[in-house]
Amino acid sequence: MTLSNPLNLLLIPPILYLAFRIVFPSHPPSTNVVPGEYDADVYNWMPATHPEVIVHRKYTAQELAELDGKGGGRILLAIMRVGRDGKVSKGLERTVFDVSNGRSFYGPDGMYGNFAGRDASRGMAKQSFDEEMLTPVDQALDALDDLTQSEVDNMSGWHEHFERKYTVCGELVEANAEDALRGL
Amino acid sequence: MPLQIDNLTLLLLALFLALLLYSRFSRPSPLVHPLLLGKQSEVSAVRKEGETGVYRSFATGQGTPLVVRPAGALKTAQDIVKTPPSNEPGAAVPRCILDTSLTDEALAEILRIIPLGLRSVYSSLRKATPESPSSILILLPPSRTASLPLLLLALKAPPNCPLIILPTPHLLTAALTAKEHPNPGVIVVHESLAEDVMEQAWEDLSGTCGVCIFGDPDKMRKGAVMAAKEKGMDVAWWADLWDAGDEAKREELPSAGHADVHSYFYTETSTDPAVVKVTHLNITAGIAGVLALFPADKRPSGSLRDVVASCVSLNTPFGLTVALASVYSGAGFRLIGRKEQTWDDIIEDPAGELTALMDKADSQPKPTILFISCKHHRVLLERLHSSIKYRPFVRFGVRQKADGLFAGHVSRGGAFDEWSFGLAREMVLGGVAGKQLRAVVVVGDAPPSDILGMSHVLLGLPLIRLHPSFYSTGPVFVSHYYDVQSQTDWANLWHSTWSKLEDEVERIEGKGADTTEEKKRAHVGPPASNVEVVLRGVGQGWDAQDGAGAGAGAGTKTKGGKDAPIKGEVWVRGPGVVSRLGKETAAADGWVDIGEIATVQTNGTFVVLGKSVAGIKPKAA
Repeated sequence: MTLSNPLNLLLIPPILYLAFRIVFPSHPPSTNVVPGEYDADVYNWMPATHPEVIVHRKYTAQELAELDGKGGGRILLAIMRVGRDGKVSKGLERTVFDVSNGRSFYGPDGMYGNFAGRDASRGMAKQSFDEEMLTPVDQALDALDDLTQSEVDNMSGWHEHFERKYTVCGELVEANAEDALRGL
Repeated sequence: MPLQIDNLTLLLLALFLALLLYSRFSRPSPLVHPLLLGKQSEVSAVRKEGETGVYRSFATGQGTPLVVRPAGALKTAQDIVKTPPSNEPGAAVPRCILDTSLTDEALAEILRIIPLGLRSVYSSLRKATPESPSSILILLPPSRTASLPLLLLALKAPPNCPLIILPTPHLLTAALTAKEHPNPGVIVVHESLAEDVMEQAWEDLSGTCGVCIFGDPDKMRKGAVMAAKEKGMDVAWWADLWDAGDEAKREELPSAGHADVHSYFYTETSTDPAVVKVTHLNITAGIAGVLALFPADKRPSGSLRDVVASCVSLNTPFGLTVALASVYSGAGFRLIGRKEQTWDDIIEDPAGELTALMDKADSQPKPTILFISCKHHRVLLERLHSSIKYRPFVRFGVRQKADGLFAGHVSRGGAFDEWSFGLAREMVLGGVAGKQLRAVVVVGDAPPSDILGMSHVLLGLPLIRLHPSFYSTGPVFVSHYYDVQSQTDWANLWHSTWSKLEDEVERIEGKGADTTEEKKRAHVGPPASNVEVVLRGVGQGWDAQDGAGAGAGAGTKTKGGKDAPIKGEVWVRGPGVVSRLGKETAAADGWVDIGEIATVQTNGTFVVLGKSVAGIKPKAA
């Protein structure tokens, strides 16, 4: 039981150091840099980026066609919103939905991949995924005036389904109207 | 030589292990997990060009309906005081409401008598119907005891009698002649203004309006009252209403619906006075917002003998909502302000006001929850600092506290805390920060972020920042109850002299909305629990990008490569948000411009910078 034992002597400094640190904690570092990532030891932190938020904007058919998910980007498609009277008329909004979450359906390899980046209104109405349902992008938007009432109701049902499941992120407009809005 | 292990070695080894385990595992744990503080708002998935997404508090989340009442039973303001009083354990104990001691039963009885008394004295109120309501105009100075009639009438007014609440006598003419709300049937006025008001009411409303005088127990104004009565005006004293109500027939007055108008609030602006209409639904939503700032176990409650002291006058929607929320939750309520009757709401002597609040001669209970302004908070910190700084070993206590704060923990009651700070807290400003205090909320302009660390150390409590608006009954922004994040220079927390901090504070206050100082104000947290916020007019450096939808981060970056806060005008929406009458400030879908500019940080908290051009006249706070 003596301090001449080297083991005892070895243990004394760590004990003193630990006791000192408990009674006098070390000063927290004073840095002006707030960490940008969460770490288990850090309390004062701030994320480095704002959360991702999609911008609601108007798309022309050309712009929409670029966002068809080929190359891993976003996938958008458009469906016409039927008016309160349940009929299709000129000037109704064609809602653009961000269906990137449904890549397995609407991606390049998906069952409904034809709809990616296009106006899918006619396809939704007629319940068909054929190429004939899609209007080529360099032509004017599909007027949809030859649909029967039951097809219009079907399209309206699909629009509601998409509103619940996916994010509304824009509106599909005519290329000329877009230019007019931009003042060209 | 073989190593000898003797008893001392074993002892030292055990000691060493104990100390190691203690220092490793007894680290103070944060009051709220820092992951939650990194995401305090939930933002909507889509935003419009030139705006941010819609921010809601993280606890509320996107897609859920916003809370309109704290409990299903509270449908209107008249449900706040239950009649008959509940049999809860705390109900028989009197509580202090605006410096008057009342039990629940007494309060319920008062609220039964007042509407009956008013109807029996004033014929214009008797004739009020849902198609042609008659309002009650209240012109009482925001002093500590003079607001009692306003609170009582807010709890229970006669049917079809919305209140018109004026913050200053200058607006009296506008209120008497306004077309947007029903004409007043009676004016409740303080005796110091009684004669002028009687004259003006006679001029503007030719006798259809009565006057009720408050604060004149000795009936000194008898002469003027008699003269007015001879002209044909209904005039009475507030004290007379009791007898009139007692004698009146005991009838059940119809109760209000939640969509009915509760009151109209006026405020001065640089142009015309602004009026907002507050319905019972707005009131209950505001109460829900105020109570939601506390965690469920920390809400004001009668069983904890809580007393809420607020410096926000009852003449504003938020001030009235704090009072109603306190009464609803069973706590006492006191006002912080001047004792004398004055209309000036500029706080000239915050130290005096706090000392008066704690004055033992009044024998009023000590407040446990404070809603104070930036000025009160700063003077409290100054006094605590100066009373502590020469105590021996105080830096040692500060260091212990700083260690805890750096890990997100703050508490009172440890041995070191008691020894270093306990005595000062009991002595300074009458002991307002003493043992009984359990929450401090700074209302209005946020304090500078540099003093947050000092505040946590000296008070031993997290500092909750709350930002109200005239256009909302509940809070607009309120910080997390347990948030003690700050960018304090811990090493220099005590070395830096107080005068240096004072200089900084003066500079910040003088500059106001100067953008170079925007990083100096503390953040006020995410939107309140039932408020949605969007920042509009976000401009250069943060435009919508062409092509694949850009994230919100596609804007300015700070030096460290991180996103800068986004700046814009604050528009709010929610069940507690009210829009201005007359001028349609409200855009479509219920969005209201509250007239302030703020920035939103990456963790979803907001820093309010100041008033925008369209804002209402700033009230000094």
